[in-house]
Amino acid sequence: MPTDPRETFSRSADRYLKSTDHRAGPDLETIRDAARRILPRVTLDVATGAGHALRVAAPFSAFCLAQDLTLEMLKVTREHLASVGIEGVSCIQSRADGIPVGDGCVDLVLCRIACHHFPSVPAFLGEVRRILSPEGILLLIDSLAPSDVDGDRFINTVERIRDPSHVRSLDREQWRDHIKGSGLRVKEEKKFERRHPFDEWVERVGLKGAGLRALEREFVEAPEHIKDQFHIEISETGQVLSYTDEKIIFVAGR
Amino acid sequence: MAIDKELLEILACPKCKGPIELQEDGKGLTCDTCRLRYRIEDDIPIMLIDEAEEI
Repeated sequence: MPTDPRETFSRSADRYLKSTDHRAGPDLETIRDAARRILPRVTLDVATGAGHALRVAAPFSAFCLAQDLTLEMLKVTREHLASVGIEGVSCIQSRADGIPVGDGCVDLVLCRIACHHFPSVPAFLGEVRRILSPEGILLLIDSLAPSDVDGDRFINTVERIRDPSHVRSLDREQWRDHIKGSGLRVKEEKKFERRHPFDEWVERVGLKGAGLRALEREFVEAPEHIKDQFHIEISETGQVLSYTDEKIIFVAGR
Repeated sequence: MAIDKELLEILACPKCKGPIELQEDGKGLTCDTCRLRYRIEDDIPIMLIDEAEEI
C-alpha cells in the first residue's frame, strides 16, 4: 500500500521549490502558452507542489487557486509566488479527488507531475470534468510508464522504493482510457524526456540508508535493455549518476 | 491576508459540492447541508472532510 503523500511532502516542501526537475521544462512553456491563449478567469493548480506551474500561468489569469494535500507545500507555494511578485494567489488544502470548488467554475486546470501519487486517477478526472467551465482546459503532465511490461515494472518499482507514496505511473493507453472514461476529450498530447540526476532525485525525498541502497541496486543490477531504455548512467566506480524517463502532456477539455 | 472574495465565490463543500459560508469570526467555513465546519489555518481553508468538525 502506498503511504500518505503528506508524510513525504510535508518534510520536503522546500526541496521541491529548488528542484531542477520542477523549476524548468518544456511543459512550463506549454502551460504559459495555454494561459496566454485562454486568459482564464479562474486557474486552479491541483497538487501545486511548490507552485512552479502557477508561476507561469498567473500573469495571464484573473484569479489563481493553488490546491494541495499538504499544508507545508501551500505555504511554500505562497512564499515562492510572492517572492517573484505574484500576489493574491489563494490556497486550499484538499484531496485531488474532492476538490472544493463549484461546478463549471474553472477555466484552466493544471496538474503537473503529481497524478502518480493520486489514489484514484478516475476520481480526480471526474472532479476535473465537474469543475471545468464549458470551454475550460485541463493541462495534465505526468511521468509516462513505458507500454512494455519490463519497463513499466522497473519505473514503478524504483519510484515506489524512492517514495513510498508513489501509487502508479501510467502508460499512454491507460491515460487515454482514463481521460476518455471521465467524459473529457484529449485535444492534444506530446511527450518529452527528462534526465534525473540521481543524487538530487533521492535527496529531494530524503531517502537514506537501506532504502537508498536498495534503490541503487535496482539501477545497477537492471538488465541491459532496461539500462538502455532509461539511459541509466553509472560511473566506473559503480555509482548511479542519472536516468531519463518520459513525461507526457495532455491537453483535454469537455 | 484574509479569504479572497473571488475564492468564496467558487468554494464549495468537498462532500456535497454545495455552497459554504464564511463564519463571522473568519476562522472557518460551514456547510449547512452537511452540518460540517472546515477550519481556516494561516488563511488557508482546510477542506478535508475527515478533518471537518460536525456542527
